[in-house]
Formats: sequence, C-alpha cells, structure tokens
Amino acid sequence: MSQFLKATYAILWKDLTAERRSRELLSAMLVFALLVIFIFNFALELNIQVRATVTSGVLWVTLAFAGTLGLNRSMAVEKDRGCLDGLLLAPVDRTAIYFGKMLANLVFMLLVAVIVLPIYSILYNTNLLLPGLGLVILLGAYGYVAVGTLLASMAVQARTRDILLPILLFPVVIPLVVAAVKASGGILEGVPLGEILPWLNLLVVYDVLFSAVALMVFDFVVEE
Amino acid sequence: MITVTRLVKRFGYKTVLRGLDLQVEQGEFVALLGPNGAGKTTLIRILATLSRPTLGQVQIAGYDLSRQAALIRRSLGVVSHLPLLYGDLSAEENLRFYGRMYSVSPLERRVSEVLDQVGLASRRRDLVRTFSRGMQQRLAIGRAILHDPRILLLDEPHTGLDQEACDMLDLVLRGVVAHGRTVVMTSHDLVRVADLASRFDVLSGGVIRASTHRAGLAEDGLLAFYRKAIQEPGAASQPVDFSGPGQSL
Amino acid sequence: MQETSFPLIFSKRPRPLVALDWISGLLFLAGVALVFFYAPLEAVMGPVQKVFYFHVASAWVGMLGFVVAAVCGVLYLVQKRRLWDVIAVAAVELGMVFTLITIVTGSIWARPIWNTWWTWDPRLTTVTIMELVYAAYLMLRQGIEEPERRARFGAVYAIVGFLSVPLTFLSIRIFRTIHPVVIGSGDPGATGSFDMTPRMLQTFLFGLLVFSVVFVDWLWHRVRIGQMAEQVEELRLRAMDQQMRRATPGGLPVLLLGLAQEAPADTLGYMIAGYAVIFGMMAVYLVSLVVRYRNLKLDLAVLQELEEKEQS
Repeated sequence: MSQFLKATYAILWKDLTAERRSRELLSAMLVFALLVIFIFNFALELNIQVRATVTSGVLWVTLAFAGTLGLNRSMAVEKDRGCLDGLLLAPVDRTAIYFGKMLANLVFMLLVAVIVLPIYSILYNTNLLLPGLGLVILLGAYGYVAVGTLLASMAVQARTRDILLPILLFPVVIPLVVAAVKASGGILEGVPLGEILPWLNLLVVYDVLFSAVALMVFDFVVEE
Repeated sequence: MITVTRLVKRFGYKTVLRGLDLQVEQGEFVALLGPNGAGKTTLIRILATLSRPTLGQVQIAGYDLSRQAALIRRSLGVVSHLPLLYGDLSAEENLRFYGRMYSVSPLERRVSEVLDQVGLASRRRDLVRTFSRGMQQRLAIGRAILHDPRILLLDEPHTGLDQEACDMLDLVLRGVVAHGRTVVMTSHDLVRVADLASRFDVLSGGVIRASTHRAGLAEDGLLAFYRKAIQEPGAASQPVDFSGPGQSL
Repeated sequence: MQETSFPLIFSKRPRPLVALDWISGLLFLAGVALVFFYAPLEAVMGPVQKVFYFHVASAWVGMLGFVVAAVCGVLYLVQKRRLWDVIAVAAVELGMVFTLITIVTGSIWARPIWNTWWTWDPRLTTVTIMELVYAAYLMLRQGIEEPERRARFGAVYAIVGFLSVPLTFLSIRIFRTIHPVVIGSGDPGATGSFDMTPRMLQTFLFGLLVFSVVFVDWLWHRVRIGQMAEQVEELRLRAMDQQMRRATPGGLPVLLLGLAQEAPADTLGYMIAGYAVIFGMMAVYLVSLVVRYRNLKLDLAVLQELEEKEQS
C-alpha cells in the first residue's frame, strides 16, 4: 500500500517539477483561459445585470477548455518519449500511474482557477473569491480530471489524438459541468443552501462514480 | 533464467511470432539478430512484460509471465532505443524518480554510484534535454541498472549513436554486464555485437532459426552464420514490417 | 488469449434468423396498421400526435443499443472474445440510427405543437447527448488501427458513456425543476403530455414490442456483417502476407487493396414528414446493410478462391 502511495507521489512530484522547469503547460492554459474570458466579454454583452447570471457559465467554459489543453499535453509527454513504457515497467500497481497523473492534472487545473478567479473579479468588478465557490471548483475540477485523465490516456494512443479528447470528454462531462455551473451561480447569487444542495450532491456522486470506474478500467487502457 | 515455449504473438490478424522457443541461462549474454520486422522488438517487449503473449508460455526468473508479471518487473532492467527519460528533469532527478518507483534504497547513494558508473557524474544537475543522444543512452542504462536487476533487456541501444558514443556505451555495457547479469540484446550491428555477446541467436520469420555460442562460430565468423541462418526456407526473404503502429522500445 | 479467426465458410442465413425476419416484418406492418387505423385521432394535436408512437419506440431502441454496447464492453474486457466487440459496434450503430430517428421526429413533433423546432426537454436533450457519445465512440474506434486495442478502448468508452447518460438526464431534470423559465417552452412539464385512451396505450405498447423485435433482428444481421468484415480483413492480410513472402510480382496486392472495404396542424403534413423520416431512415440503413453485405460476399468469394489455390 505504501509503495502505491510512494509511486503516486513520485509521479505527481515528477510532473510538477517538470512543469516548474518548462512552464509550457501552465502558460498555455493561462493564456488560453484569459483569451477565452476576453472573447466572452466582447461576444456577450456583459452589463452588470447580465453578468451575474452568466459569470459562472463563462468561468466553467474557460476551465473546461483550459483543462482539455492540460490533459492532452500531460499524457502526450509520456507517450511521445516512450516514457509511458518506463512507467509501465516499474513494479507498481498501474492505477498508481493513473492517480499520479490525475492528481497532477488536478493541481494544474486548480492553479489555473486560482489565477483566473482574481483576474475575473478585477476585470468585471465582481467578487469571485468566496469559499463556497472554492469547494465547487474543487469538486468540479476533480470530476473533470478523473474522467479526463482516463480518456486522455486513450485519446493519446489514437491517430486523431488532438481533436479526439474534447470529442470524447465533453458529452460525458455534461452532468458535471451543469452541476458545477448551477452550484457556482447559486453561490454567487447568494441563493439558499437548500437549492444548491442537489447540485453539490450530483457533483459528489459524479466524482465518486467515475473515480471508481476509472480505477477499475485503467489497467485495460495501458496494457497491450 | 528465461524460458520461452511456443510463443505466439498476433496483432489483429498479423502473426509476428510463430511458436518461438528460447532458453537463456543465468549469466549469458545473448545477442538477438534478425532482419527488420522479424519480431525482435516484439519479443523484447513481451519479455519486458509490456506486451502480452497471444499463446505460449514465458517463464522469467522462475515466475510465470501471464500471472506474475508484476513480480518479474523487479528483476528486469530495460533499455530501448527511445531514452525513456524526462527531458525537463535533470539526470539525477530522473534517476531519483525511477529509484522511487523501484523502491531503491539507499536512494541517494545508489544514484551517485550509477552516475559514476555511466560516466555522467559531472552532468548530474543538467537537464536531460541538453544531453546528446549518446549521453541519454548512457543515462538510460543507468536507469535500467539502478535497482540492480538480474536481467537486462536491450533493444537496439546503439541506434542513432556515432562511433565514439557507441564505444562509450559498450564500455558501460561491459562494466555493467560483468556482475553476472543475464543480458538479451537485439542489434543490427554485427561487428559490435560480435565482441560483446557470448551467444548469438537469429530470429527470422517469427521463430529462432539458429543459435550458437561464440566458441561455436566457424572461421568465417558471425556474418556468415547470420546470412546462412536467414537464407533457410521459410525465412522472410524480403523485409516485411510487422511491428504494430507506434511501437516504441 | 485471443480467439482465432471465425470459421472459414460463411453460412447462409440460419433458419431462426429467417423466421425472425418474417416475424419482424409482419409485426412492423401490424404496428403501422395500428397507428394509422386503430389508434384514434388526438383531439388537440391532430395527426402529428401519431408520430409519438414510433418516436418513443425509437428512443427505447436507441437506449437499448447503449445498454447492449456497455454490457458487451464489460464482457469483452473480461473474456476478450472478439464476438463481444462485434456485437458492441453493431449495437452502437443501430442505436445511432434509431436515436437519430428519435431526435428528428421529436423535432418534427415539437414544431406544430410549440411552434419551435427544438425544446430543451430533459429527455430529448439527454437523447441528443447520447447520440453525441455514440458518435464519439465511433470516432475513437476510427482513430485506432490495431483491432485488439480498438476493441478494448471501445469497451472502456462504452462503459463510461453509458454511466454518464443517467447522470446527464438527472442534471437536466434538476435544471428544469429549479429553473422553470426555459427557451422555447413556457411549461416545464410540457412534454407534449396528453391523456392516452386505451387504444392509444395498446398501440404504444405494441410499438415498443415491434421495435424491440426489429432491433434484435437488425442487430443479428449487422453482427453477421461485422463477422464477415473481420473474416475478409483476416483473409486479406493473410493473402498479402503470403504474397509478400514469395515476392511474386505485384498485381495482386493492388487488387487486394482495391477490394471493397466496408462499403460500410394542419399537422397532417408534419405527421407525413415524421413517418417519412422514420421509414426513410430505416430504409436507408437497410439498403446500406444490404450493399455492405453484397460487397463483403464478393470479397469473400475472391479471397476464398485465393485461399484454395494456396492449399493446393
């Protein structure tokens, strides 16, 4: 068991260190996220009233797209230099690879969120730095990354790798995005907890269900 | 150490290995030769537990491949023609990472030992993407022996290296091999291999066509032996590439 | 361990299948007759309401396809038998066709009733998303060349997709109950509800039965075609393999490559459009199956001849 955790941690650490050196991933995700926010500003008329209802949607679309970038790149690194074989050769449970990659992807996505939230708050003069929102983002990002890492492992082995991940991911992740958007919107609008609870429940169910599925099924995706 | 019985490997409808038999004793250095597409890489991948046999038995270090693959991995060190290293990490970080994955202990000391052994101690803090290919291959060997495996599998490790790099690699290999390890190495370079290996097997058309120890080589040497082996009926007379798409190793 | 190839001789339609063909054909005609001559005309919506019977039956079959694909996915991962993969693809294809019928007829039905081509009704929306998952499944398979990996990945995605659909439905449902204001329709409960008289209920249930039988029948045919395609592929590769081994001069590989791959309100007007879509799409799909079958038979004949020449 502790070997499993050690391996997971080693992979997580490796991804974070590599990213700290190259900064490729994060800068791409951040620039992308900011661009999306700016485009939304011009595409939708974000006057004060409209903004309140639209903010959470814009936020999650941004996170979803930036997240896809991160997922793709994170798996592509392993595949391209054959490093995935290096991981598979190690005498550790395969699911440690899944967990390590997934946690790394989660960290990246949360980092993007942490940077995007204050910027959005400033640009649109709305306060997004609410603890409830933090919880929703955590739950939403976790589910996204749980499914996304699994699907990215498959997509990266196909010929059409770059466009394939969004095509595979988006239809399956809709319940998560809907729940996250509605929960975030509810928190921003100060809606009573009773109305937000069903959404939070859905998020938790989604996270648990797909974590379990990914754990059971990941072996089949990386074996040959 | 390694026993392969009637190994068959199919990719979809293409049969690459057709009932291959192989026996490697401890301490042997076997050079696996053969034309492109004969199935050398496929065989190495199967021995490395990266690929599952379609049919047949494989026993490594006393364990059965189909059921105890995880136990086998501990005893294996693998070097492929891809470096399997992370470019954005330094040499020592790469080794430390793999050391953790293999539960190598004591980690720091071992990492330093290995870096010395492969002659990269002076570049330990440099990022791997600044290394030449020769240096990367040397580090790759370091990675492979970090956990002191009993068996080394190498798939055309000299690919893409110039003469000097090859010489350095051979130096490292000889040093590494001296410890009584069992080695299986595929290669196209008959000249190099003639000096390194103690036994030569020719893989062609999906089976081992011929095998000889160095002592058994005739006057005309390895090249003649090889040529004769692949001329036999049933052997592929034309290079056919059966390896699946995107195969690394 | 992977199964080896399917038996070389490809049989004609087995007797049970022929019987099933007849039964499903007759049931279908009976179903149509019930819809047009037995079920009463709905008071408020007029003729277009009749689209409802086969619309829901199609949706049912669409979801059935998904269930079958997911179950076959699990079976394939556990047993690694190629048959499960062939059935899964067949189920997905059929599911896609019938889901498409559902979506289009849903749209046709919505138009005269709510004066809009689309309602964000939870069921219709979920079904459309399901169609997208199906499409993604096929695109995933298309991007992978090796058959074993393709089957494995397909199985994994079928399972993931299948599990996401109920959650999607749930999320849209909660969405609708909390937010009654919705584009295109003023009433969250507006699913075109109407009270069903006993005759309508009977027609409806019979429609479900008919489409279920048709699904099984077409699935069987599609699975046979899938098996044929695999046989063709295997024989072709074997032939190319042997041909290259002997390095015979090259007209043959070109021929083999050239072999056919899988050739692979006044609402009366709306009702007519609806049924035209239903029959049209089913007919188009059937025709495509027949064409594919013919092509594969030709390929098989050529390849079997080749194989016989090899043996001698």
